[in-house]
Amino acid sequence: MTKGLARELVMEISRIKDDPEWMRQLRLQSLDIYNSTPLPAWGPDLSGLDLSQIETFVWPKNKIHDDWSQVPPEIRDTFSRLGIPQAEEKFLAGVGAQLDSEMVYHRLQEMAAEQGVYYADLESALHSDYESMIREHFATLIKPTDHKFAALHTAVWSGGSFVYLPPGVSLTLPLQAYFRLNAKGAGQFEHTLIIVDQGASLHFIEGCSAPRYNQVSLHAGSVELFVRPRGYLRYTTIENWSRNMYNLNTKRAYVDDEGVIEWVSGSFGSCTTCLYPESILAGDKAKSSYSGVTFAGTGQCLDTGFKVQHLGRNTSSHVQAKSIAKGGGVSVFRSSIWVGDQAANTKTSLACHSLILDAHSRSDTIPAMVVNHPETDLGHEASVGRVSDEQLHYLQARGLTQQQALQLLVSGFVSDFTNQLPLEYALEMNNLLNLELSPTSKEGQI
Amino acid sequence: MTKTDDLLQIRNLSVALETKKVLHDIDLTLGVGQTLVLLGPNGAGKSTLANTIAGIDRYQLTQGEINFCGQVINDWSLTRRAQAGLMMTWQNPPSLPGVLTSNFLRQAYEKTGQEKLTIFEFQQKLNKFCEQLHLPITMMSRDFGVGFSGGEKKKLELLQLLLLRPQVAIVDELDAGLDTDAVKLVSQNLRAFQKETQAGLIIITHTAQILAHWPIDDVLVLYQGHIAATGGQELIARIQKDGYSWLKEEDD
Repeated sequence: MTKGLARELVMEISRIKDDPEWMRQLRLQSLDIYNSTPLPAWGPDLSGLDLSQIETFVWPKNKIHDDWSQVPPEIRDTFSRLGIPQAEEKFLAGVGAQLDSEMVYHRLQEMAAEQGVYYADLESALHSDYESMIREHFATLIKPTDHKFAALHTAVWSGGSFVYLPPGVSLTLPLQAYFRLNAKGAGQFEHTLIIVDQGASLHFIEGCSAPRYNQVSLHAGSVELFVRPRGYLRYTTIENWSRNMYNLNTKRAYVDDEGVIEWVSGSFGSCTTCLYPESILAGDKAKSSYSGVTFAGTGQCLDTGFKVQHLGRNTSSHVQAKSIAKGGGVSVFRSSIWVGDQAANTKTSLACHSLILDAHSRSDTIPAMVVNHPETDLGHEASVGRVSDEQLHYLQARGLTQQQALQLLVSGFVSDFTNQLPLEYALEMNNLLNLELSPTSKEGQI
Repeated sequence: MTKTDDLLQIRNLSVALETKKVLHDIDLTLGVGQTLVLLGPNGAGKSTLANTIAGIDRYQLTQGEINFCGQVINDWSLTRRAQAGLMMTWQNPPSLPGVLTSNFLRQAYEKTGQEKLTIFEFQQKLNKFCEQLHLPITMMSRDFGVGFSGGEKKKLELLQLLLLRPQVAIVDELDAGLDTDAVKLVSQNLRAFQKETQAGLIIITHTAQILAHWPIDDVLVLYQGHIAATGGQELIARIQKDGYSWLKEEDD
């Protein structure tokens, strides 16, 4: 199996993908940038990440399936361990799952096509009529020069989704794509590119879950979202990475006049996560909202946050972040708000609340704000709290075990996030939380 | 010694908070369908005794035993006592932000082993209790305790008692801060519950208004951590008239 990052590997990926020439060139340019760019000088410790030892690309063992029964048993097992009952598997049959960096599952495509929406894995899309549209947008929002892992991503990207909504089209049901890693030491570099044209409307959901591995793994995905005038896009993710994963993901949205982007983001798992979705509110009256939950347990550092650039006039952004730290976990929330000198009448508010479940866990909030226009309405609030003995005792005095009491209180803490999820995701999210909260020893004693 | 219809028997119980002894040699017995009234001035140890019976573990038993339905429960956790049907209403229940009242109540209900209900049936049950206690039904879909008035919190404690149907309930100043009409409503509902279920009740009160028209089986007066007097209805009347100062004199 190929390891490390040599020019030959990038050429091989490009050959297997049958890339158009421009994509091959882009990959090679990005490789050069990657090799000459140092690791970021800030943020969590990445010294455990030995890129020379990571297989950056795993050739798929699984072909594309269109029916649930053909999805490999260990994948279905993961779904069931996350408490997705049989009944919901049918519902989830509309899910695209990525396995070994390839799409194994695709059915919603048809439903989308019926409504005039183009939805495909990015490789297929590159060989369709949409090639020129992809070329116009791909890696323009997240450039290989942005940081080392954006360069790496652009050089070796594989798999992911492309969605195009023509003007005025509204997709009534959410588009869903599940993807996960299942190979030892595999890097995952999926790329999501979504273009919501004028007045169109979409809810896109991506979820990831991964079992545990012994070898250190890297995930460096890229999500580029374009919302054209009066377009609406809600982008929902629940990510749950195995505890040895470095999750260094980059997500960005560009919003034109009167467009709306809504981020709903749940981050679980990984040993280290760096994830700071960004909205660029370029058009007048563009809007952004972000609602996120981060959970950092033992041995984990989840360094997440949100960035927004207010460039147009009368734009607004709202951030509602919740983080939980347990068992020595470290959770960091960084925010960056930038108000440009043309951005008259900007409204921006940020609320960041942390819950620390024991004395040796940590939570930090690191805000940064640059305001270049005097007519700006800016709000910021942050708090750190604990679950009180009184609350736990009260629930126990009503018959709940200590464990159940803790679960109920924590799910209460994140409820305004969970309420924004479709029901089946809300259930999964609660199950994830309960898994994270369960003691390593025995179940809460009576 | 334990009679079969005794729900709760406390023998020779002493309790410490950290190193300080706060309850001394307490004895009490509560039978099926009986009502025991616990009186005493502020700081006499009434709430300490209630918390000790309920199993809040910041109190330490240094001597004696608590017997519930024939079993010694000294070592039982809070959860186990609650699941076995021992309940205390709280003077100041905490707020639970983000936790829907109906969700919490449903989880608590499911621990009691009563008949399984669908979400709809459970909702109906809650609606009935709300109506009975003059509580707005909308409270059930709000975060527990958040923005509730003092009176609403008290009534919600009673609602839990009616819902969870304990065998023994310690009713700790459920009447405090309620207006006259509300005290009457609480009293009537509590009495009706006891008549129906034959639950044993320990009522802690300062006003005794909650006890109007209520047959009292036993009255205990706690003073400085000791049981200073025992008796019946007449003891309530004396304390309403004379207060607690005479206990001090008898002490001397």
